[in-house]
Amino acid sequence: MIAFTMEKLTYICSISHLTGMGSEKISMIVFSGTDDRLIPVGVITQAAAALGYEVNIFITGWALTKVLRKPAQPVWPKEFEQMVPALQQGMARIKAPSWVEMVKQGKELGKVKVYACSMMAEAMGLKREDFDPSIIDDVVGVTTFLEIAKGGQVLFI
Amino acid sequence: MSQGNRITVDARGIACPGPITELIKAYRNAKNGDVIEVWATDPGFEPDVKAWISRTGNQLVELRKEQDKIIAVIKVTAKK
Repeated sequence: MIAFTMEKLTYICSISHLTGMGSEKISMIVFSGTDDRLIPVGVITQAAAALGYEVNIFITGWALTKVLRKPAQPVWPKEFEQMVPALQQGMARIKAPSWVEMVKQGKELGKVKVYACSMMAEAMGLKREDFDPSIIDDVVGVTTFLEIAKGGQVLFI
Repeated sequence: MSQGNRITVDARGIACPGPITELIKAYRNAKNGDVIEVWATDPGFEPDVKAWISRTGNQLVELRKEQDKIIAVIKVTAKK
């Protein structure tokens, strides 16, 4: 039997880790398209934007399927599959918004830009108009992202 | 200095980063001398509000845990 607690999520969530020394800019390369990894993208984005950080998100790989006008169905990693119902119930119990809602809240609160990777978009046959314009601000190459992210913290998710 | 306003933010039942987000929204509309009281149930709120105070330089007047909630009382002092 698997007992699922929200304690771990709370540790991850604790934004005290984000408020220490360092740059006031955080950028994320979001590659994974599984829903569990998208949760912290939303949480970090919303918190950082509220705190006044500049936030830049570069969506690439499988994650591109989650920012389309018609996004892919939820995908969960195989090894944690049996824990997913408990997680979903827990997320509902704590009234956690979806990761997309958190990113949108971040956009309302501060400086959040979300970019789609042009190379992977091309490889997957995705056009600019396939992306949800309420999430994706632009389709750019990695050079643009590296210039935007330069000097700040970068997370690969 | 004129007497400040007292603002209550009820962030009970919402998860991190909701309570800090709600505090920041209230803070953006506040002025120096105002007092913001936040109620939260997310256990991350206690360290997070301390982190926010050390980041912003506002004054934490009180931080206490009651049976059913965490209460933070903040005096706004660092608005520019």
